[in-house]
Amino acid sequence: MEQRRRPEYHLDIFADLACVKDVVKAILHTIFFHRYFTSISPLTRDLLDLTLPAIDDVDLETLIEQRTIALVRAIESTHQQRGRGQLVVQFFEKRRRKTYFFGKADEDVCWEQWTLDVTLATPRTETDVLKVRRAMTKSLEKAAHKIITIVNRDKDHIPPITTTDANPFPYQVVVNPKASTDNNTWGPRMGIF
Amino acid sequence: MYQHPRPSPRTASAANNLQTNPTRTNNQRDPNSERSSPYSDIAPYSDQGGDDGDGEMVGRAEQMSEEAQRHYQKVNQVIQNFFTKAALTIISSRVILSQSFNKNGDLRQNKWFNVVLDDTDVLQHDLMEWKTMDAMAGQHPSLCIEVYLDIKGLDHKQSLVIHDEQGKRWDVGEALNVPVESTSRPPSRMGRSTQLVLERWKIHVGDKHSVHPSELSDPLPNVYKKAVVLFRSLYAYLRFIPAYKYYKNIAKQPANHPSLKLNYRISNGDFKSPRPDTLRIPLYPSSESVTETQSFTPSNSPVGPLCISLEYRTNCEFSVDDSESLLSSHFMGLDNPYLEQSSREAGQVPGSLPVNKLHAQDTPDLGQAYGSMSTFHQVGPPTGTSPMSALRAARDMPSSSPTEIPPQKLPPNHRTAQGSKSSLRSAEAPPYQRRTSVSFQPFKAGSLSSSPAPGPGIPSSPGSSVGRPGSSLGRTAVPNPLTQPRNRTSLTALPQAALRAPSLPNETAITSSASSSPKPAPIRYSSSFGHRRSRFSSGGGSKTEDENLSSGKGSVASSQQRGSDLLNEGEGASSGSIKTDDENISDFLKLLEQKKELKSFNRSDNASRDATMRKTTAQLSKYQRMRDSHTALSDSLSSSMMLHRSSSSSSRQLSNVPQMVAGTSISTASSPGKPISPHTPHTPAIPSRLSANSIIEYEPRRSRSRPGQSSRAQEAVDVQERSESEDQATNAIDIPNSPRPWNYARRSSSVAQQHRAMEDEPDFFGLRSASLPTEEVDRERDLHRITAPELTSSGLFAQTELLTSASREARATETLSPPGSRDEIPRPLSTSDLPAKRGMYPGSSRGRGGFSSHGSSTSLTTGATSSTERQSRYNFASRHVPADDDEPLLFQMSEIGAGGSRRSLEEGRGGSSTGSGGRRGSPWLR
Repeated sequence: MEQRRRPEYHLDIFADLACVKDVVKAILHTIFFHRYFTSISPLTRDLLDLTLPAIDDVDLETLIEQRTIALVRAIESTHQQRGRGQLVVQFFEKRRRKTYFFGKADEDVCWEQWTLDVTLATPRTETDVLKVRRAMTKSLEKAAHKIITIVNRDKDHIPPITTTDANPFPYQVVVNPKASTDNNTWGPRMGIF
Repeated sequence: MYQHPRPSPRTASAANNLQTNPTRTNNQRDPNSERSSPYSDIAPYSDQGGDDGDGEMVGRAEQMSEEAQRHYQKVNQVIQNFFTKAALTIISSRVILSQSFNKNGDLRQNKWFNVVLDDTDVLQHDLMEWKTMDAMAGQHPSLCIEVYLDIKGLDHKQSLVIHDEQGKRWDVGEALNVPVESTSRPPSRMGRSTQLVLERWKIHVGDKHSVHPSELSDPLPNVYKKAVVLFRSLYAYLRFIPAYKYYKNIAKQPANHPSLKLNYRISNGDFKSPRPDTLRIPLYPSSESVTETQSFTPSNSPVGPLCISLEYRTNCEFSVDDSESLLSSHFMGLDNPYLEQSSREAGQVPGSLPVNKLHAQDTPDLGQAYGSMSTFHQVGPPTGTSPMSALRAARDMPSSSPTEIPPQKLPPNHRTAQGSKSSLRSAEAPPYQRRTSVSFQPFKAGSLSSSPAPGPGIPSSPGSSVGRPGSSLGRTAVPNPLTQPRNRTSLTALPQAALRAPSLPNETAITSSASSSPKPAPIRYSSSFGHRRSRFSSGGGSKTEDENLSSGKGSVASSQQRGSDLLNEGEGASSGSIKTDDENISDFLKLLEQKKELKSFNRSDNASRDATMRKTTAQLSKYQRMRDSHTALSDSLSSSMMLHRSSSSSSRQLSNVPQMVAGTSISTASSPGKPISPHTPHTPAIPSRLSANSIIEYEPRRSRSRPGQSSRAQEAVDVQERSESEDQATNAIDIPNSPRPWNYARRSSSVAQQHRAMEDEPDFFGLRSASLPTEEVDRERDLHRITAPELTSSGLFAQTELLTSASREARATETLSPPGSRDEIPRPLSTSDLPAKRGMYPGSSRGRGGFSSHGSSTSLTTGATSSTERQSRYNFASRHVPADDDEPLLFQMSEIGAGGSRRSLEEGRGGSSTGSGGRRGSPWLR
């Protein structure tokens, strides 16, 4: 109804090899923290002088861990000085009515997408290390604030919660997705909603 | 939380609800359900709403009647819990709350809005109002939560400090206007706020009509769902901001590590707190805003948008330090000015002598040591003005210094000094006269340019107070006029200086010289004036001279003054040396300076002559003078620069020291510096011109005017003033450059001032004698008033000079004004101090400020213009909000009590402290 469009948010993340994993995980956790509507006991994790929220959910933790590792490998495989990678987080809504028509795939409709553009820095000098660290901290902080701003600003597109059990909204984390296909797939569905 | 709400809502709900209220059973139910699991209750809603989107309510036809009732209750419940949960979320992230347990011994948790937090009973009482409110009926008071640090929690040897961007430590207690000592003795300052608010959260229901109607009809499940997001982000955001970092840091520290825990306060945001708002108080000079605000996008609800917003300090790098180490650090860093002062004292910087003495006096008081910083600074200003005071002090010191100088008296002296300063300019000439003020007054008059006059006035006032009455009247009258003119001129000069400063390459030199010169200059002037004045006075006004211990000096000075501003400068430089060293030295210096001055005079003479011509005509209109001065200033600036340089050799050295002290202040002082330099140049230029052109005339004028206006003692002052006035008159144009501002202001104002002073003097005397503080206050007020108007009119000028002149004028106009004039003087100083502070921030400008007081005066003038811009906050406060600032300062002063008096004195002295203030200043000082 309300979700005529599927919002897509972009976050730019800058990190060095030592921290990229933690930074990406922290960002993912921060996103999920605002989209995991099940009642939770919030956790916090400190990273780079920041305290970020986290969710105590094994499944989610595992998913984030796996995807993050995959992303880092993908970036490293590019064997470039400044590797880049992309991580896409999608949230879906289960559509009961549509279930019959398209089968399982049809059941989940993406109502929000977060794209993380990760840039890997490989400082060579001590000064670079410091500079990178500062930049990294700043990018993390900026991303975290951006997430909070976005989730507070845009709420109307969040689908109604129709279940009290477990997480009402299925999610998906994709590493270096083929944007075009994904968009095509979801676009029409979004329109329906 | 859940427990409370039901009753009232239901009853009300029944009436309010469109649907009939079925029964109260519902009510009971709601409570139960809520308690059991708020979430579960809501969940159904969400589910219902889920498919239809918003029609959940309608969806359940079966429960229509009950549903209405339930809806009402649920809405109330949600809103009540919105408030209480927000409070719990916020406070639990700042303070360790005791856990609570249910009957089964299990940890009780608050699961509202799908954020599970350990619940506590601690907040029950405070939140009762929100737990029981009937939001649907429009009863939803805003909830205000303040997170603060209370330095009362520190023991005597501890101080709460904040680390600025450079890692420098600043005493929070001082920023809160709690005397340094007080930090260790919070109890003594019960009236004063010991609480520093770090965050203020406000949770409220916004205007129902400000949002789209559709948002009000948002189904409750959606309301809850959106609130979940809001609370998640609230939880996360709470941990992003500085106060949490502080909370985290103290949690990490070992138990034995001194730390100050965060406190919270829950209040009804609809009522204003009687407590002073310490959230926005700057703890140290910084270009960065003290606080930032964050507003979460309101969450919809049937009763209106649910809003959470906060304002928080951007820097929460607090730590608890040992007071002694802090002090030492202050001395090392901020206190540098102090050190410099001390060094100066030790070194007996020519101009600084008085200041040093003053400082020394001040320093004696341990409490003052800290405060002394401020006091010193203030003292500095006094010194600045202090030149006079210094002179006085010196006089006192040498001869009867004890009387005036005595530590006890010091405060009075400061006050008096302030008052005297102002008085010097305005009415206090008498006091000066009385003490040695006569000589001082002259000096002041000459030195009056900025603060020196006040300073001298102060010292003199005490001494002269006795003798003053008789002579004081005349003197006062004269001085006042002088002072007023000075003020005016100073104002003009200031603007000019400001103008000059910007444009002139000299500026750089000037700035440096000015910055240095300001202090030196003031010192020189003051000291020189004092000496000179005394000398002059001896020459010009014998009485004043007599009064002045250094009557001989005064006479000399008078002669010198007569000679020209240059002479004055030279004298000032020499005087400074004299003060510090001896009259002999001063004499030598004078000689040297005179020579220099002569050159400078010559240079300036051309411009000065024109200027004088103009001024004479322009004297009628200060503004015109200003203009002339501006033009002349530009000319004179260049010349003055030269002059300054030449004359400043000694002054420069002094200036150097001041600069060192002022360091930062100077930087701010760049403009001030310019003014200063202008002054110095002016003085030389003016003197030369005056001397060349109308020195004789001036002398006669001085003698004439002075005699007529003021008593002998006053005459001495007058002489100085005259010199200044003469300078102004003769140099009118030149004066603008730098000397003129002082001189001009004095002169221009001096005439009016004198009259005013005359009028004022009586009052002043009474006031002064009665209570310096009040006078100061009045002065400050007057200054503010004056400044304010002037500021409007002339803007920058108004700041420093305007203040002085305005104050003088105001004084003239108003009987009270005389005191005000004194006040004004102090303020100018203060303003100058402020600039100095501004410039000085890093370096602990206060000490400098004190020194700079003279310098500050110049710096102020220059700085005033520039400073206003630069130190928007401080300046603004001091300048624009003079009344407010002053009053607060005053209050602080008064509040402080003894300390307050000191402060007031300091303020008066430093002016710096008073300016933006006492508060600001004090914190900064520290």
